[in-house]
Amino acid sequence: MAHIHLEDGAFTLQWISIWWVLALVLIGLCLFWMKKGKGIDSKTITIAAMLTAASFAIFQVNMPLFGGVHMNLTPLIGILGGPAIGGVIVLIVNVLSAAIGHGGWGMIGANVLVNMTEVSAGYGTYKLLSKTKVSTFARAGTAVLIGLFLGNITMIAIILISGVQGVTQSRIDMLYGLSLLAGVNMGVAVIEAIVTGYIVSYIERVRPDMLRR
Amino acid sequence: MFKTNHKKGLMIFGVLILVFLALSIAAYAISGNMGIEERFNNAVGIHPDSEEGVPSGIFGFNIEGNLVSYVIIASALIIICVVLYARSKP
Repeated sequence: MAHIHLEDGAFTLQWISIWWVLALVLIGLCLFWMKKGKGIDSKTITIAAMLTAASFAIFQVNMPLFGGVHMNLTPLIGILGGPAIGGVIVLIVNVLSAAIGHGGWGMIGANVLVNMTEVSAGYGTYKLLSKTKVSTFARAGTAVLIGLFLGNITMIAIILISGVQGVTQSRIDMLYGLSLLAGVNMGVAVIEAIVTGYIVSYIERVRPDMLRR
Repeated sequence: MFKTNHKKGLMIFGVLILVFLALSIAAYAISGNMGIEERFNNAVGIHPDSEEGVPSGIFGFNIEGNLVSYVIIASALIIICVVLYARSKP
């Protein structure tokens, strides 16, 4: 998964504000979309709450793989909740994560943008592949890989655009370092893809109505 | 027809997994064994003043951030889920 693990002060106030404003505009659009669409029933709220709890719980667990990585289930949020609810969920998860000291408060805006990319790309890929007759497991797994890959690209773009205060490293060196980091991140994306594939296949078997929303 | 598409889909997924796995192993081999924060700082060129020790946790799994806050927030979220689930049941 992709998450900007930089402390407050790494980005200038100008860039922190820009990413926050962009994230809030997108969240506003998500809320507008939710209100304008079918609305939110109690079942949707329950699913959203469960996705928030699951994502928060797993997001903080550092796995002993490649020296330390963690999952965040953002493409699963996209597949089950859709991009509008997913946007709100990733905002809540990022705020709660910052509250326990995982990520800076100033980074929430940028991290919401990264996670929203994962949610939207995961949702979009899953829906696109639904038109084919590919199995649910392969569809969900592919959606996760593509979602997390695009999330990593967004993360790299945000850091390169913002720049990091107090470092002498050139953007090219930074791109090289971040590409290696994204490469390592994709290792955990493989695990997340298999886990999500099984979860979505199981849900399709026992509660197919959850996937047809 | 269905089975062919299923197999094709699984094959594409399998190829993607192999590609990304190879990519991550190569990236790990080049960058070396580091924790998340250390890997990030190294990637962008930040040299922290003090090296923070990585907690060992259980079987290498540990919690990022404050453990007590994590337990409190996770418990609150679970309680909210149970309440919402009970209320949404017909």
